[in-house]
Amino acid sequence: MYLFSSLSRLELLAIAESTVATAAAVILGSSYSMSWFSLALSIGGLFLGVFLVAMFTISLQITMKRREVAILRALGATRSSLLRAFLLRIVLIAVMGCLAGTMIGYCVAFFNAECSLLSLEIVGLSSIISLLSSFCGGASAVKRVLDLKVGEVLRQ
Amino acid sequence: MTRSEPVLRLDNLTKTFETDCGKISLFNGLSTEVMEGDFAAVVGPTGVGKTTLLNIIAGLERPDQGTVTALGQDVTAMDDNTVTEFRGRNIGLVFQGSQLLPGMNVFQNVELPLVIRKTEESERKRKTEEILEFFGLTRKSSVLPAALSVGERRKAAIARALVTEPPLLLMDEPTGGLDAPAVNILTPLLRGIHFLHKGTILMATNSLNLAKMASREIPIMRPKLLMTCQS
Repeated sequence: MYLFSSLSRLELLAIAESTVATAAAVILGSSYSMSWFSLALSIGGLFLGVFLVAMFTISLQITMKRREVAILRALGATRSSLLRAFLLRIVLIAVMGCLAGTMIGYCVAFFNAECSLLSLEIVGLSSIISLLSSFCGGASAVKRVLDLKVGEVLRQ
Repeated sequence: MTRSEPVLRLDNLTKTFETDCGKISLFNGLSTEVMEGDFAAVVGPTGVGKTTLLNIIAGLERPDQGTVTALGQDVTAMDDNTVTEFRGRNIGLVFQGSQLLPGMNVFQNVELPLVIRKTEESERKRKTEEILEFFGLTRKSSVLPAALSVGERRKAAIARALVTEPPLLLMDEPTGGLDAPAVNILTPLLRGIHFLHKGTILMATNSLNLAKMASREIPIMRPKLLMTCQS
């Protein structure tokens, strides 16, 4: 939509963080020296890390775009249309981070003798958690778009 | 709607604000009507609430008391989505300080209300080109707002508000912050808009010269101090 053109630095940062966390989860999850306890910790870390980074970067992005959002609202763009635009963007970021992380993690684990437990389940679980956490983190930040006081923002 | 019907009716309007040192009340029960085709000027010194009044009429802010009826509909009773759609369909807004989107060129900025209304692309292009030509901005259509002069930015903002041919046009200080030559260019243009635009215009201004252009004036009283904080 008209709010977004190319990927901003903040969005690239969110994608990079999600990539690293997903790759790490795939590698750690397939390492034979991992116990179930450390596997749970790494999965939990992946969820929390990606969630927080997605929430932080998207929040910052929205704060930077609040004037644009206010102008669009004043010109007649509804909350739902703006929300849709932001959520689509978050899905794009989540999918890019997840895909890149899964591919990198898979390649590293495949060629690493330590990662003998590499399986479809580990890769799938890491990808799903990465996707979910970045989407949830971004979506919780987007709620702020709904609470924008258009008149006040335009007056500032 | 016939000539005698009001396009805009304000009934007993009041808005209160908490400030650092007290509570102030704006408008104090303002009631007035603006008829179809009128060019009305909201006048008063800085700080009396002219921008707030336009925001309330456009549904961007809510009054604490009173109602605003625009084009036969009570704006103050609408929920957020309804008032946003109503505004997009019926009200053209020129904000103080232009408020163009910095990442979009002049053409895209002016075209924006039509994009929001989901107007067909060929129609969008035709209307945008027409209005840019009227404002003498055709050669600047691919330029970003930052590269325009303040006067050109203001013209682009007015063009954006008019591109949908809204029945009600609200302009907040259209010449505010402009130097004398830019005011001299914009003032006849505003006269031209009134002549060509078939709708109703409500303009907030503290310029007496600009207010003279309007067919009637709506003076805003000074805010009333309701409560002062104790030091």
